[in-house]
Amino acid sequence: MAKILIVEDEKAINTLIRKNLELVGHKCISVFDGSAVNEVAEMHDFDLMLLDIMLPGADGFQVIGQLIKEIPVIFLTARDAVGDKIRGLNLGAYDYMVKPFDMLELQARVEAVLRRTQKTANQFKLGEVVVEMEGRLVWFKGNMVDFTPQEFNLIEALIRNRNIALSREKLLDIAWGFDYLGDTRTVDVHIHTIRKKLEWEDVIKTVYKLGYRLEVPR
Amino acid sequence: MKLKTFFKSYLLFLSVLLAAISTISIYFTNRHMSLIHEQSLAEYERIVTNLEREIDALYERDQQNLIQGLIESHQIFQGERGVSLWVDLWQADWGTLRAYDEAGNFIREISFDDDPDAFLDPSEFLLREAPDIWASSFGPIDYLDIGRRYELGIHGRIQPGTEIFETNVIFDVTDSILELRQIQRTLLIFFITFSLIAAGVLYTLLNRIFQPLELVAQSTQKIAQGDYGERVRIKGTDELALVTTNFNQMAEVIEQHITHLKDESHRKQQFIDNLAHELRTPLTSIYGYAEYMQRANLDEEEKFESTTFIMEEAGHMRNITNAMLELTKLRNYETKLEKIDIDELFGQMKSSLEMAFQQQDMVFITESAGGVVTGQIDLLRSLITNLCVNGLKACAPGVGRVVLKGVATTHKVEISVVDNGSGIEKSHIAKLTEPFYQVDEVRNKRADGIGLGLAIVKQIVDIHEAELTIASEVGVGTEVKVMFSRGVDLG
Repeated sequence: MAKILIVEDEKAINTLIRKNLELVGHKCISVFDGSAVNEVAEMHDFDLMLLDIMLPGADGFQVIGQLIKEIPVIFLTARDAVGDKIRGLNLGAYDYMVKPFDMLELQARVEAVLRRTQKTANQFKLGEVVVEMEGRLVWFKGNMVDFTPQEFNLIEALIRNRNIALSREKLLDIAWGFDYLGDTRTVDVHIHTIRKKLEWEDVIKTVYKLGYRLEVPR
Repeated sequence: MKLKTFFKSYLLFLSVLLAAISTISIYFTNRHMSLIHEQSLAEYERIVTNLEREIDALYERDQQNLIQGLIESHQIFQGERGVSLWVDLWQADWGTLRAYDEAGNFIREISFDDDPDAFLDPSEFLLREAPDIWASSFGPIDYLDIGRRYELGIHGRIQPGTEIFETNVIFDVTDSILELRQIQRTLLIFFITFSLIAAGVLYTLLNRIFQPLELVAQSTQKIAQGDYGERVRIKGTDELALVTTNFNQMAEVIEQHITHLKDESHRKQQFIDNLAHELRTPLTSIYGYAEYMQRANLDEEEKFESTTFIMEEAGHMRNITNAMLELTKLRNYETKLEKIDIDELFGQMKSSLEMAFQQQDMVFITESAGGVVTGQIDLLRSLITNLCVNGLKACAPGVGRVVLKGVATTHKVEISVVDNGSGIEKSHIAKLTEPFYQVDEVRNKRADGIGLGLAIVKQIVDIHEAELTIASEVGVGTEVKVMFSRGVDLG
C-alpha cells in the first residue's frame, strides 16, 4: 500500500487524516512543520504528500517549491480562493482539496492520484480470495468466480474503502450509477450473493442503520 | 429656477417703470392740453371781442348790411393766420346746439331756450382729428396737402346790438399736439430703452447672484450621488458665503458619519469572516471525527482518542463563543466605578496567575508603589489577566519574565505589563486589538488562544476611558501600557 506524508499543523486534523488513510491500509507519517518536510522525505520514499498551505516554518507553496524529492502532492487546506487553487496546481500539485473535507472524497482523491502514478495495488488478497482490480476478476480457492458487473462494482467499492462503512445509497450510486432508480434492497441482495460466493459472511459486516463495511485486519 | 426669477423680477420692474412713465406722460399731456386750451381761449376772446365791438359799431351806425362783409373779412383775416372763424346769426328756430367730443361723437344737446346765456361763454372745447371734409368746408386753408392736422374748436355767442351771433373758432393746434406726441414718443423710447438696459443689467445681476447657488446645487447633486467628499468653494463674506460655509460643514459631518458607518460595517464584515474561519477549523475536526467514528470499526482506545478530539475542538468553539459573549456584554456594560487599591489588586493577580507561570518555569513579578485606581474590579482583573497571559505566551519557558507594574501619580494611573518574549513586528501592532487578529497567521500555538483577548482588553480600556499603548521590539519583548486618567484626582 502507499506511503503517505501528511503535512498539517493542526494536530487534530493531521491525526484525523492519518487515521482515515490508515483504515484503507496506507502507511502514514505526520509532520506538523513545513520546514521539516525535506528532512522526513530524505528518510522515506513517499508515494503521496497531503500538504496544508498555512504552516509554520515554511508554507505549503514554499514546501512544494523546495522539495528535494519528487513526491505527488495533494493540497488540503482551508483556503478556498481560486487564486490559491490555481497557484497550487501550477506549482505541480495533483489535486487541491478544501477543508472541511468528506472522508470518502479524501479516499477517492488519494486513490485517483495513486492510480495516476500507478502506485495503487492491482491486486487485493484476503484469505483465499484474490481480486484483480484492473482485470476485474475474482478468484476464490484458486478458482475464478463469476461476478456480474454490478457485483464487481460493489466489491471494488468495498475494497477501495475497506474498513469504512458505506451506506446502501452510496453503494447503489457507485455500482449502478446516479440515475439508477432501484431500491436500496437491491444492494442487500447483491451483498448477500457476494458473501455466499466468497464465504465472506464475517468479512462484509452489516453496520447498524448505515450499510456495509469490508473489514480487513489492520 | 433662474429664468423664472428673472421673469418675475423683470415683470415687477417693468410694471413699476410703466407706472412711472405713464404718470409722467399723463402729467405732461394734461399740462400741455390745458396750456393749449388757455391759449386758444384767450385767442378766442380776443377774436370775438373785436368782432363783437365792430358789429356793435355797425349797429350803432345802422349799417347792418355791412355785417356780412365784416364777418367775411374777419374770416379771411383769421384764415390767413390759420384760424377758422365761423359766425352765424342766431335764429330762434335753431333752438339747440349739439356738442361733440374729440372723435366727433355726440355728447349732449344744449337748449338755448333753457339757458339764453349758455353760449355767451365758450363752453365746449372740441379737440378732434380734423376730417378732410371738415377742413375743406372752412375754405381758405387747404389741409388736404398737409395730411393729419389737429384742430381745436371753440363755440360761443356774441350779442352785438340786438342780435345774437353764434361764433365758432377753430384753431389749428397741430404743432402743439405734435409737440405733445413728440414728448410722449420720447417717453416711450426712453421706456423701451430703459427696459432693455434693465433686462441686461438684471440678467447679469441674477447670474452673479445665482452662480454660487448653482455651484451649491451642483455639489448637492454630487453628494446625492454618493460623492461625500464634495465641497463648495465660494469665497466672500455675504449671506451666500455663509450658506456655503454651513453647507460645507454639513457635508463634512455627513462624510464623517458615512466614513464611520463604512468602517463600522467593514469591521463587522471582517469580524464575521474571521468568525466563520475560526469556527470552520474546529468544525472540520468535529465533523471528521464523528464521521470516522460512525464509519470505522474502532477499538476502545481509538474511540476515546476520537471523542477527546471532538471534545477539545468543541471546547475551543465554546471558548470562542464565550469570549464573543463577553465582548457583547462589555459593549453594553454599565460602568459602576469604584476606587480600587492597586496593591490589593496586584496581590490578587499574583496569587491567581503565579501558578501558570511556575508551571512553565517563568517569573511573574508585580511592582507597585501603592495608590488607587478608579475602575470596575472584575473588568480590571480580566484586563490584567489577558495581558499577563499574552506575555506568558510570548515568552519561552525557563527564561520568561513578566512584570506587572503600577504607577500612580496625582493625575493618572499607569498599569503596564512588560515581558521579555518574542516581541511583535511593528506592522502588526495597530491591528492587534482587532477581533481574531493573531500575529502568527498559521496559529501554530492555536491551543493557546483564539485571538479575542486584546479585543476584550481594548473594550475594557474604552469603558474606563483609558488609553492603551503597545510598544514592542522583536527579540526583546513587549510592553503594554494602560493609562487611566478618569476620576483619579478625585481620590
